[in-house]
Formats: sequence, C-alpha cells, structure tokens
Amino acid sequence: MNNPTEVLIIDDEPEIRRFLKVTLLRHGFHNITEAKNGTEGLEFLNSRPPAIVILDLGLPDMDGTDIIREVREWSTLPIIILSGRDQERSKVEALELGADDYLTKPFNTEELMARVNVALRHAKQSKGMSEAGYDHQGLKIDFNKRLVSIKGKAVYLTPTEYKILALLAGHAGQVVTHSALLTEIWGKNFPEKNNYLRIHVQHLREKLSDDPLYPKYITNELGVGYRLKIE
Amino acid sequence: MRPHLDPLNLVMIFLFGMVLIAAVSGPWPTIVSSIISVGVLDYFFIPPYGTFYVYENKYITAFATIFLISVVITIQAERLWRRIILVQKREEDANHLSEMSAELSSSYGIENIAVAACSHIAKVFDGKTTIFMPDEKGHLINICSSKHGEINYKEQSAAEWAYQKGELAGFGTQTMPTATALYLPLSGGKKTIGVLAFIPYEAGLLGNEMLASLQSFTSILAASLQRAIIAKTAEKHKIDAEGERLRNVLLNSISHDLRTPLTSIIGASENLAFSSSLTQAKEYGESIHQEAERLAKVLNNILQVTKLESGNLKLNKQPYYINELIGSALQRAKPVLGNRPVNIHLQEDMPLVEADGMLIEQVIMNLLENAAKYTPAGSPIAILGTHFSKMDITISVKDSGPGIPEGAAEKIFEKFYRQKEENAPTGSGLGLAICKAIILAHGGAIRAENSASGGAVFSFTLQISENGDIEANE
Repeated sequence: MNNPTEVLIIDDEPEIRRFLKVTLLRHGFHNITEAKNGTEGLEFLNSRPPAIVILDLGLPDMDGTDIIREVREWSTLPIIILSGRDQERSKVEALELGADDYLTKPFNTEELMARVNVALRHAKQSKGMSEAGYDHQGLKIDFNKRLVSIKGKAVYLTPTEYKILALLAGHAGQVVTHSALLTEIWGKNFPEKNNYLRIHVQHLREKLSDDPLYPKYITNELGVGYRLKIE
Repeated sequence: MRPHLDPLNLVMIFLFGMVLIAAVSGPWPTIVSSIISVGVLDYFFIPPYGTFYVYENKYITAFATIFLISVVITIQAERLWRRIILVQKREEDANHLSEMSAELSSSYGIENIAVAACSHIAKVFDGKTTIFMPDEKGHLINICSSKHGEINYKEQSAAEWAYQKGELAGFGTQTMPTATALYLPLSGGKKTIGVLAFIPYEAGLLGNEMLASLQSFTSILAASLQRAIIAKTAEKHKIDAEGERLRNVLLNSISHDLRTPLTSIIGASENLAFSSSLTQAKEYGESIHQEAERLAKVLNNILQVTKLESGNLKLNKQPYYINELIGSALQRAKPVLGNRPVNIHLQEDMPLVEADGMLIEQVIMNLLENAAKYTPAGSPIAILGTHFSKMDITISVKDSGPGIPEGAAEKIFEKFYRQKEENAPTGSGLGLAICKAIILAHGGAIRAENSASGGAVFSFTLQISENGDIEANE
C-alpha cells in the first residue's frame, strides 16, 4: 500500500521527526520530506507544496503560527500542529489562524494517524467531493434535507442547535474552536455569547442523548472547542 | 450727671469698656474707642466744660496714660488671640495627624499607605500631593497621586535632589526654588525611602507653621512606609526560603521519579536494539511505552507544580458544565482506574462554572487517581456533584479505601506528603498539592475527610459562572 501523498514534517527535534517518519512509513506514507526549522519548511512549502504539513509550534527560528499565517495566504492545504501542554494559547491561536487540527505532546501513533487521515479526507472533500451527510454510531445527518436522526428516529433541533451540529459534522473528526462556532452562529464580536454556546451544546447533547460524562458523539477539547467523533 | 460722677470713676468705666472691646475685637476698634473716650471725658467732664480745651497739665498726663494703657491692653489682647488661634490650629493638625496615623496603620502594603496619605495630606493642606518612591532600578516613580491631579514629571530633578540628599528642595527652599512643588524627603531610619511633593492651591510661600506641620505629617508617613517596606522584605525572604526548601525537596523527588522509568527505558531499548526474536522485541517495546507514559505523568506533575509555584499561572477561564470536565477526566484516568467502577451522581441542572477547563480536569483526574490508589481493584469510586449554594457547586470524590489517618486531613495537601505506613502506595506526593493550588487559584476550597460509611472523601468547590443559570434563547 504505497501512498503517494506527500507529507512535510517541520520539527527541530530529530527524534520526533524520526518517530513521525517511522509511523507514517508504517501506515503507507512513503513520500515524506523533513524540515528542521521554519525557514527550511517555508522553502519546501513554496517550491513544492505537499499534501499535508505536520508542524511543530515551537521552532528555533520562528513561531509555528507565522508559517500558518504565510501558508494560509495562498493555500488551504491541511496543517496539523504539534504543541506542548504549556502552549495552550498558541495552540488556539494556530487553530484560529487556519490550522486544521492539533496534537498535544506526548501523543501516540493512533492519534497521529487519525488526525492525518481526517485532515486528508477533508482536504479532498473541499476539492468538490463534498459529503452529503454524516453517519456514525446511529447518528445520521442529511445536510441537504437538514434532517437529523438517531437510529432512524427523527431528532428535532432548533435552528441554532442544527447549525452547531452541522458545523461540527462539516469538520467531522476535527476540532472546531469555540470562537469559530461563535463567529459562524452569531457573527464576529460576540464573545459574550460564550455561555449561550455552552448551553446550546448542552441542549443539543440532551436531544442526541449524548451524555457528556461518556460522550458518544460530541467530545470536549478543553480550552479549545468541540470535536464530532467519527470512529 | 456731673455731680454724681467723678472723672476718676469715669476713667475706670472707660478702661473697663476698652478691655471689653479689646477682648472681642481687634486692635483698631480699641484704639479708636480710647481716643473717643478721652475726647468725651475732656468735653463733658473736664473744665472748662463743653470744650476740648484743657487748663491743667495733670489732665494731659492722665489722658496720655489712659491712651497708653489702651495700647498696652490692645497689644496683650492681640497676643492672646494669636495664641488661641495657634492652639486651635495645632489641635486641628494634631487631630488630622492622628487621623492619618490611624488610617495608615490600618492600611496594608506600600501602595495602600501611599494612596491614603496622599489624599489625606491633600485634604488637610489644601493642595496637590504626590509620593515618589524608587523602583527596582532606583528611579523615582509616582506611587500615588491625590485625586486632585498629578505633579508634572519635569520636576524630577528637584525630587531627585530631595531624595538623594534627604533635604527639602523645590518651591520656597534654597534648592531649586523655581520648581512649582515643594519636595519633602521621606526618611525611614538611615536612608531616604521616598519623596513627598506638595503644591499648595493658594499661591504664595508656605508659612513656617505650615511647613512644620507638613513635616510632621511626612515623618508619620515615612514611618508607615518604612514599616510596610520591612514587612514586604520579610515576606520576600520567607517566600525565598520556602522556595529554596521546595526546590531541594523537588530535586530529590524529581531525580528519583525520573530516574526509575528512565532506567527501565534505557535498559529495555538497549535490549530491543539487540533482540533477535519478535516476541521479545514486542515485550521490550511495551515496557518502554509503559515507562514512558509514567515518565510523562511525572513530568506533567512537576511542570504543573513549577508553574503554580512560580505564580506565572494565568487561568484561561471559560464557562463549563462540570459533567464535561468530569467526562474528560474519566477518559484520561481510564488506565489508572482499571476495573474500579465509577458511580457518578450529579444534582439536576448543575449550572455553568467559570473555570480553566484543563486545570479542573487535572484536579478531577488527580483525585480519581488518588482514589484508585487506595481503592482495591473491583471496588467502587463515587463522584458526587451538588449545588446547594447560589455561589458555588461542590464536587466530591469518594474512594473505598482505608480512609485518611487521624490528623492527616490537612497535611495530605502538602507538597511531597506521603503516607508513612509501610503498605501505603507510592506516588510523587504532588497530586493533591496540585489540586489544592489549582482550586485556591480558582477562589474555591478543597478538603479531605473520612466518610461515615468508610473511605476517604475529597471535596472541592467552584464558583458558578455569572449568568451561569440563564436559559439560552434563540
């Protein structure tokens, strides 16, 4: 299973690069480029854009967020960021700048591959192969008809609840930040709606019988946002 | 009337009147009334009557004496007046001074003292006040200003002079008299600790009296500030000492907690590199993975404590439902919990709380981990959530262990506290200390007690989010 998808790894730690490379190779990704700092990374990005970037936020020569900012000026190629537990804020900033997902160090191979695969799938979808719905663990969403059902039984959502669910489903498997949800639903400059968002999500969960203690569908990414599960 | 009154009697009456006038009014009315008195005496009672003409020299001497007496009385009365006014003023000043002194001694911290003194002095002396104190680099900076406004910074050099030399400078003094403000050094013991700048609202020189009382205010202020500075230094020393002690314990603990898993990892990976059988290689791989996870946990705890200790912790507060945080923590604690069932009872309609989600998740996880440590495999752990108060919610984690030894309920939250019993499970001794620090940073409370039905219960409170119980509207 030789996968021609090109992956660019930008990380200054050789051992992390090695771990990423070995893992990707094991999962069939053979076209891997490594950059040991931001300058080298940007050179690769500009000369031959890869299909996906795995980017460490703490680089020696520049901030990882600078690279995201630059790339997002000309490309929507998926970017997955690696961050330490103490880089919570830059993580959120990176996501708001357009990074697709994140991994907090230390992470395991399973998480890494899940993020990579989801990001690649979404990249394909946005190139025209848009999905008509979401179907996971009995929860079905039909985007065209705006219908939501669980195990065949219709679930009636308010417009806001549907909007939240549809946004999460549109990025199924990926994190959607609180601020992205707030902006999409209430427009910009409504940070005070934060409480409302939580309450709407709570109601949505109730209607989906999704217990936050043991979430089946919507998981919390603390301090970041929500993620609709896919596996 | 003349037959009944001798001129001598009249003189007595006039003098009496003059004393009265001098007592109630100023010097001029007294002198004018003495002239009128002499005139009246001469005109009506001294022959030839009806004229101001005087035949005999003795009368002239008498008149001059009367006039002289009146002047002396006037001067004496005036002195008395001044005395009274001065005493009153001093009394007032003393009152203000003791008022300020009381206010300052009840203020805590340099800034509070400075602010209180600023507004007090500005009020009493009717002017603008500013207090300058040196920053860490020794530059004078404005510590406070009375609400009447700030004194311009260009006066800096006069302020610096007063600070360096410990003498008066600026307006009305020999040093830089062109400055708009008067600068009074605040001397605390051996050295000057700051400068008080004062600009009176009413233009003109400051009187000596005023200057003297301004100086007594300044010395009280300086004493209060000195007290605050000493307290601050003492506190800093205490913190430094505590930090030093902590670092030592931390270092000992770290070296042990890091070395153990590292040793396993080094050994297993070496073996892995030389292993020829796949089964063996897998075993080594698993061992490395396990030990690395343990290492990650230890590191996380250490990082957390360092962050909390250094005071650099900034809470990323957001609204959360507690069940989201409990759910998250349960997910992460799964490997530690093993086959111990977790029973969760949350009161209906738990309101939103304002919290740093990752930190509170950490608290719940640490409590679950601690509970798992003392709960035998297969026995239950319970989480209880209540909101009886309008202010906060309470979350409790109850284990099925032996309970907390007597007298340890407080100590349990101390850093590196480990139970001394032989069979007590080992840990870094940081988990509960981290919980306490995080909950305190959130303005909540945490405590440990034994449940009547056996086992230990750890409970903490979290403040309810403002508008935490609002209903969302479309």
